[in-house]
Amino acid sequence: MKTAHIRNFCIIAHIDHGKSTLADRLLEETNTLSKKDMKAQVLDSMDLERERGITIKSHPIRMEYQHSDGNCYVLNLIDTPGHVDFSYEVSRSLAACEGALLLVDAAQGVEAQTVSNTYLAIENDLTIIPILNKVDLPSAMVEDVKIQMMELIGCDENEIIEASAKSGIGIQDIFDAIISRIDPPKNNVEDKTRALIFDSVYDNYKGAIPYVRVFDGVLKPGMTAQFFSHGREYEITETGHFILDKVKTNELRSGEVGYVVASIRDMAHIEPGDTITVKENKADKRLPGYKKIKPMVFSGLYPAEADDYDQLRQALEKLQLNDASLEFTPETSQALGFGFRCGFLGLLHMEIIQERLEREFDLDLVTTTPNVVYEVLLRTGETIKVDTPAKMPSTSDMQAILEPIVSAEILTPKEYIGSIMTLCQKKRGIYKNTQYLSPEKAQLHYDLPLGEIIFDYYDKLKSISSGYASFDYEFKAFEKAQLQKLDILIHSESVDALSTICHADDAYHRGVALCSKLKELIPRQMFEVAIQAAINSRIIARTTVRALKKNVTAKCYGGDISRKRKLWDKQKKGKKRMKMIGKVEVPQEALLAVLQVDND
Amino acid sequence: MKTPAGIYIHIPFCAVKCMYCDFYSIAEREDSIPRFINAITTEIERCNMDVSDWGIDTIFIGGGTPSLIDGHFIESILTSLQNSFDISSVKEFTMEANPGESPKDRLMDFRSLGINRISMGVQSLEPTLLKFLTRIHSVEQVFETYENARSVGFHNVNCDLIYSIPGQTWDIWERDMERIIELEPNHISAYTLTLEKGTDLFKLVKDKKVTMPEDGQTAEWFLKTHEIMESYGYSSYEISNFSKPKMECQHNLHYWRIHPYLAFGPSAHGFDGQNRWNNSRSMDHYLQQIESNKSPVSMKETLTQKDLLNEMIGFGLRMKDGINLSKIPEKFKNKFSGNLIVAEKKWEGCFIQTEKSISLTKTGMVYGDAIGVDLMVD
Ligand SMILES: Nc1nc2c(ncn2[C@@H]2O[C@H](COP(=O)(O)OP(=O)(O)OP(=O)(O)O)[C@@H](O)[C@H]2O)c(=O)[nH]1
Ligand SMILES: C[S@@+](CC[C@H](N)C(=O)[O-])C[C@H]1O[C@@H](n2cnc3c(N)ncnc32)[C@H](O)[C@@H]1O
Ligand code: SF4
Ligand SMILES: [Mg+2]
Repeated sequence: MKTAHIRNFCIIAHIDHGKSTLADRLLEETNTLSKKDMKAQVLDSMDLERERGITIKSHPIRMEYQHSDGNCYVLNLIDTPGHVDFSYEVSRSLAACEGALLLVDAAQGVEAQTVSNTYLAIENDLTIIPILNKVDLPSAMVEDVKIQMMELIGCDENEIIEASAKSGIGIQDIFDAIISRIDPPKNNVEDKTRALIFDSVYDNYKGAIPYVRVFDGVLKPGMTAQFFSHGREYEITETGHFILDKVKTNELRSGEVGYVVASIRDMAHIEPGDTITVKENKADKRLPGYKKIKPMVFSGLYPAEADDYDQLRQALEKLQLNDASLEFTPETSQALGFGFRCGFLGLLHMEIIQERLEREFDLDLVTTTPNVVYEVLLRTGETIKVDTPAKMPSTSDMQAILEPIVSAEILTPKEYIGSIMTLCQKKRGIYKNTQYLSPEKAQLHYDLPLGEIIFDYYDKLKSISSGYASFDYEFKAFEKAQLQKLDILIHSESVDALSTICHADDAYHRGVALCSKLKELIPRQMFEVAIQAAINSRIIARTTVRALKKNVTAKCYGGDISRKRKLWDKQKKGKKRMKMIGKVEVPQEALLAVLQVDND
Repeated sequence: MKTPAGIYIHIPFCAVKCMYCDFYSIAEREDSIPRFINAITTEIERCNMDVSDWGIDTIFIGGGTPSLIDGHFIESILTSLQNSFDISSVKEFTMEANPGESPKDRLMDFRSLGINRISMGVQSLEPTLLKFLTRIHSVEQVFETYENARSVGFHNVNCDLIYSIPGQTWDIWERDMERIIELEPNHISAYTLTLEKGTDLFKLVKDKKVTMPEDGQTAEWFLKTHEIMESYGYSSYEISNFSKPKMECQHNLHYWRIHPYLAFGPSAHGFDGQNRWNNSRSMDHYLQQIESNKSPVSMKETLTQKDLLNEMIGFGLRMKDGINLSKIPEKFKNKFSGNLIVAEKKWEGCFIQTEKSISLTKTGMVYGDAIGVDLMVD
């Protein structure tokens, strides 16, 4: 295949604008998948993706396209996720491409991740093909959304392709644009070999498998792979492309996207952003990698069964290969024993990681209240990072606590501006400015404490704007704030896993709300259980879980044993993730009670 | 050795439906009795399960109100059983009889058929409570039926009692117990009144026309009841069952020890050691199925090893003997002892451990279901 006949591109958009559905149409049109393999959003192959109807991982796939110019083209497509928590997936995919199809839902218009992904594509020098999707919808606002797109991308109206991924409108125009507007990759096949690792998976038989974009030279089975970030060598045993599954090839050449198998057992040896070269044709300079992304949201992950600690560590290592943004370090909790403090990009990311660990590695986990990372200025003058509220130094040792502030961008139809501003104020936001993408669509800029938006901000934003507002944020700086540690005591024992940091003005309200939520969530025991909230050892709120008086049915069941067993089974299910904290049994939901209290 | 096993026969007819009862029973359908007897005998004779390695040693005719049925009908059921199974080793043969609904001559017929145990639904000896429970018999009829049973040669008699009934005081209940104990039945079942969905009682409570006693009171009465029973020599071998030495209900023990049993009649539940099933809970459907040569079974499930273990745990804890540790499959032993360690912390003072068994203290029994769930494996 001539390099001139290759196109590498990804599909980017805000969540739900139709990326995976468009990928379906492209795969169909190129007969990449047989009819029986075809289904809606076929690239969303993880159970979790199908259940939730969202893309979580970037999915690369290779297509062969017979163009009307008589040539056959290889199209390497990467479908990307739209949710803000997975933007790292997008940015890594972009580096493997020359072009990007930018979709905008005609009924929703430009949204926050449309903006952020567009900037990512521009930073990566990609050719952007703007596509107005879902024009089949009666609620499509074709003209206004086109104005928004032109304003955002700086393109002409005639560059925008009107399409419907669902009903197949505009698909031919999209193929034409891919061929004519996106540059083929540079043909550097004669150069020293360099391939960028943009993702990886762990395979129980084949070890860690890097996904690569070859920029220069060739990778071939038999060659010896070398890595820039460490000195290890591995013999390449297989190279291949992605159809739905992996398909072996003789080699991967400059300009191609594929995978490499080299029996890499040590997972630490594969790192997205690293460059692979080969001993036989050794390059001396690495490709530009990625900015390593810093997780901002942390929570503890503990095995429900203490015995599973090692299994959890291995699972985290393997999962990290497939999720480069995941971070973890061992931690011990008085309440929960041995586990890991894990860093995530957001709450959805945290939820997904927990679910993947449980499903893919058959573990039962207990998760603790998520929190952001703080900087603490000690009396000694030293500054430390604190990612666990329980580890917050005592008040007398601290000069100040600094919290992460993000600059947030909120896109909204103009009628919701008022209520969004009220919401941001409640969340201690500082107003910056407002711009307009079109007469209808406003872009608000705020500085907001990250700790205020990780919980329910997004849901609130959606509900006050009937689903039309969206937001995106990036870390800005650590700033001083009046913060306090709120401790929770259960049956007179302080429970480290339940400590949270909150603003001084909120502490009382938060303490009361938490206590009453916990009261709902903690099952009754044989004795009365007191639940207390404290700041600096001063009790500010208290509730009690009354004692359980009886839990047995004395009635004769005759031979109907099944009925009783099913009842027990049901109760057992509800208790899967319980932990004993002292003498009190605390369910998983209670450890996440903070997420359930109204944080206003 | 053969696996100990039992046979259960369900006779669903009742004169009236009691307001608290969710057993499958129907009132005012006496005209269907002959048709029903035909059906159940057909069901028995058609049963082709291989029970050759079972040692069937109990039969229980329950209901409903089986004592409403004429002796000759019961006889034909027995004949079918004899034709189909080896019941020569049956030691305990029980029939449920309601006070006032089991005339002496009929009791005599039952006795002569080989039935050797009568289980009487006394429920209460307080007229207002009997009325509340919509029972149709009087207190006098309780004593009369009891005497009749004794006089026709039943040497093994059980009385069913219900307590912690709305409106009942401890004194009323204590006196009931004492009056029954004075009769010296061989066995007493004393159940706390349980609210079951679909009953009239359930609706009354939901509509706030009746208030159930507080759990705290029920728990207290439960403990005191056990004390009194034991003080009179009735050993509490199960949460709600008390007996004189060696007079435990062998049939019910089969259920609780997860032994197999055959079951015939609408809504009857059977178990073969691996599968549990039950017949349709509708008389009409039951009759139709049998008469059109189809199976009356409406549910069948195959238990996993884990299900069996959890049943053993749940029901074991309800018995004085507890969970027999040697019956726990090797592969679940670790998991079980892990659960036990946590449960011991949570349920302080609730366990009695020996090398061979785990059982509950009286306090433990009050929380029996919750503790069972904590010990079960998933
Ligand atoms: N009416 C209409 N619906 C569409 C169109 N394209 C996609 N959809 C629907 O929009 C929803 C989201 O589509 P997806 O393809 O999963 O969107 P996505 O952009 O891949 O979403 P994420 O990967 O989660 O960011 C689905 O219900 C699709 O059926 C379209 O052109 N018209
Ligand atoms: C299968 S019933 C039928 C016995 C017989 N028909 C009678 O009513 O005398 C067996 C016993 O279960 C008990 N029982 C039934 N429903 C109950 C309930 N809701 N709560 C407590 N015990 C109940 C009663 O003591 C009853 O005698
Ligand atoms: S308690 Fe006995 S008599 Fe009353 S309805 Fe139930 S089975 Fe029939
Ligand atoms: Mg998608």
